Amino acid sequence: MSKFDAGMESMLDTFVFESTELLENLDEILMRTEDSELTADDIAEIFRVMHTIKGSSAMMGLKNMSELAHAVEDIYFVIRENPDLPCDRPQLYELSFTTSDYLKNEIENLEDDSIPLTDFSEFIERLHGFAKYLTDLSKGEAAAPPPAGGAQDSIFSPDEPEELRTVKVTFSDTCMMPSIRAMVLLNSLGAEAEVVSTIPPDLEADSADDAINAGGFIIKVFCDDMDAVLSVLKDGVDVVSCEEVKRPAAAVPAPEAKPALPAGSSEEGVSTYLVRFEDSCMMPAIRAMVLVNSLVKEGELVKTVPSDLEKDEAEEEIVKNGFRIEIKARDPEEVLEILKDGLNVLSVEKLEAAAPEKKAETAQAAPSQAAAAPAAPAPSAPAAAPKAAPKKDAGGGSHGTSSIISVKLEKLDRLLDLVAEIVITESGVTSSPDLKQFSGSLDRFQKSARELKKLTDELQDVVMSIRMVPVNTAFQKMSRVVRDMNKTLGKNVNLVFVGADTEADKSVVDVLGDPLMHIVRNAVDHGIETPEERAAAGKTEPATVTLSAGYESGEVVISCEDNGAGMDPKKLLAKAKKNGILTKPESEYTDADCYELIMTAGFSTNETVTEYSGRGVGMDVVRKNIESVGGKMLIDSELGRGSKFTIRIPLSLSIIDVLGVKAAGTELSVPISSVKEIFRADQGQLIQDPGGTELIMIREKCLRVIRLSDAFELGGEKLPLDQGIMLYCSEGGREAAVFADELLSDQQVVVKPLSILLNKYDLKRKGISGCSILADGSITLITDINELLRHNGVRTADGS
Amino acid sequence: MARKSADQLLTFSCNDQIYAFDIVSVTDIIEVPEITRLPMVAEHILGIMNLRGKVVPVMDFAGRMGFPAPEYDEHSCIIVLDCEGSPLGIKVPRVIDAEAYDDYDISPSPVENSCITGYIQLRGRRVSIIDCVILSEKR
Repeated sequence: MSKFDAGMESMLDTFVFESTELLENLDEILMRTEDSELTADDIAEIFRVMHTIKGSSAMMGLKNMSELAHAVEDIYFVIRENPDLPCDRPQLYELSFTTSDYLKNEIENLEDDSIPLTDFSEFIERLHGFAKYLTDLSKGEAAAPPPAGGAQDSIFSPDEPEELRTVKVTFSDTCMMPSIRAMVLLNSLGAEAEVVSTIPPDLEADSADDAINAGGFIIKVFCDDMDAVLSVLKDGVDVVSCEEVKRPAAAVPAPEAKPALPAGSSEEGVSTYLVRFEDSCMMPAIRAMVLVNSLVKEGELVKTVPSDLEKDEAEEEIVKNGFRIEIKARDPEEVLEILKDGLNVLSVEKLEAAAPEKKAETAQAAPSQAAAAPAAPAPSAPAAAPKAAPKKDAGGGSHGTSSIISVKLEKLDRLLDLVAEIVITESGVTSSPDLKQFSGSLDRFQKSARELKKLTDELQDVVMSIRMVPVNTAFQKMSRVVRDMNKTLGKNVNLVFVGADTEADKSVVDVLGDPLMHIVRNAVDHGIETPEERAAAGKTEPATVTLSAGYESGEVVISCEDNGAGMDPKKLLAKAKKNGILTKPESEYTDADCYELIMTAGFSTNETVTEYSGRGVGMDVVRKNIESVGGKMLIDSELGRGSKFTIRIPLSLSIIDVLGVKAAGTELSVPISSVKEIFRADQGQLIQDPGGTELIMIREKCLRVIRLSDAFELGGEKLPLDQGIMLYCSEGGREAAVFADELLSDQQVVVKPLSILLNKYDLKRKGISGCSILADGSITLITDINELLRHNGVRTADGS
Repeated sequence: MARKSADQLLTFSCNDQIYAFDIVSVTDIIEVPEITRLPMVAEHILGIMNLRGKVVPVMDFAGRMGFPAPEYDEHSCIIVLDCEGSPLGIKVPRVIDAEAYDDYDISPSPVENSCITGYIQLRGRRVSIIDCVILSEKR
């Protein structure tokens, strides 16, 4: 079985996205506040993050995550209520960060069924322990003030006008924060009534919770429709009862919403099922909803009891009476099976068709329900609508409105495709050969056509910009990395961001994450010295790692600079020699070459392997990652002053610069990033190996000649090598001269993958990475030089 | 088991025989556009074409079935199929019609994994029904 509820697959993406975002948000807050003050806003935000994760993971059926989030929520609840509590902050942060890591890890592994759900119970115990410690602390701190307004008489003041109505709301015992609930209630009343005063008067006071627990929550309102007010209040979370209190203390008892269980209707073919959920099930209403959804295919749903699963009462009712489904099923047994398979389902029984007497009961139940209607929420839609609105407002207000929506990348790509298509079609229309016969009388048409062109161009720009995101997201993660390392290594490194609002294509920013992490870790671990070493070297400035981003000639340039020890080229060279990774005589290595050595596989200068670096993997992987997306990496360093790592990546991964070439009549595109030089071969440069292999000498270097027409089996006549065009290609450590018949163009293209129906031909491995639709609607094939060279047996410089 | 379909077949001819696709899997019927040749693929893969901004592979029906090359003329066209989410163009000499049929009239082919799943008599002529997923060589 998969980890989450079967009906929830469609929600997975959203869940992962939202939770990841929330956790990043959490990290950011924790990092910001660790060494400064934790403001009420921050606490509320952390609380909200945990609350949301608790709710959404419970919805997904991920009980472990939900419980973990709940435990943390408890802790922050206590802190929120007692913000001045002198608690053990290092431990609080350690627990919070660990939770964040656990949750992130769990989310990452969600889709992998082979990794079981982690059991957090031990850690949760620790959290509970900490929560208890906090609670005890807070009890010692604040001696609870005597509850206000205990006696009922005191809720009426003598000079109250007649029209002022008084309502008393009681919350359930388990309600964690009645004052907050009360505040929400007041907000939701906004549309229905004018609140004059409340008892207790100040809901933000610490004593408010106790007062509410002791004497209930009293609201004095002016209103036109008392029933509406009552039903809004009744709808509130954790509200047990609410009643209007009349001045002569003749309280009208609010009838409990009687969960009338109408028996199964006697209609032909309708089967009735009673589902009970496990006691531990966190949100039975959601589970019930999932069940209903999963039954869609089985037949027509007649009704469910409770009917409105989105109401708060539904939870209680399901817990108390079970969940009833009446369905016109094609196969009742099948339905039974589906229900039994549901998550958290304890038992399912199929109820037999209603007996006549049961029907009578229904009839009886109906009027009593009608009578209860004023207080109980009316299930009808019109009545529900006004109630829902203010409630939503209250929710929206507390979270702050966001002007950002999240869209699936595929949708954006489709939009991009369509826009590109519109641009092409537009030029097809305006330059249609049919227009020739009207030449001379097309002034107005031309004017409109120009207008259209401007608009489509703008449209294209806008759509392209949608995919752009600030690199900040990748940078932010680094603060966490540095924070953790500061804790363990004690280096007190400052992390500074420059130009974090620089934007790059989403895919580029995603790719940046890992390499950046390696580089930053290296900078802190190897680059920055310990405080003692810094003092000894006379360095007074604080240890700093600077991450900066900016644009340079169509590329995003990201650099990571530290003011640490820097690198000694001689040391690097000696180390490389020892590890046997030198590829040319020692004397030929320039300083820049030496720095590049650290990006070679099997190189590590730190004598001891630490938790963070020094395993000799890392920088070479970083380089590979960056090169795989068409980027380049540069290193500069000054001994004693620090090092600088620079990554240059094209703005967008999907748009690349290519050279159009022709080989044996077929047009192909070669990415410019792979081409070092274009030239026409001289007869004197050409060599023929006795085995028939064609070679070429370029500045003392002997390279293989790869004819595109042969490599791609295009056939055609063999053109003499000095008549076509040579592309000196270098990619992934392999070098060769690629030979084409002629050079056609140089353009920017959007790479599209080839159809999966062509997978069996393995074209990617043979050197065709994809294709692209050109402005005139024709298609060009894009070569992958690295794969082409590999497939044709060109070896890398180090012989692999 | 009842087959899910609109109970219509798109019939086309090739070398004097009539073949048909379930119309549910047909997304477009278009004139033969410019087709970009692909290197290193089987001969019956004609290449790729631009279908409203999507790059779609094109297969020659006769070539795929191992028939001799038919005569293509201005009536020849590409039938675009949806093979479990991937579009595929099939070049055929001539599309005939969309015709209603009854499931019960199909004689299933006893040959397993053949692209012809069954035969049906329509207007007195035998029509071979093609399974587009098997035809696409996806598996």
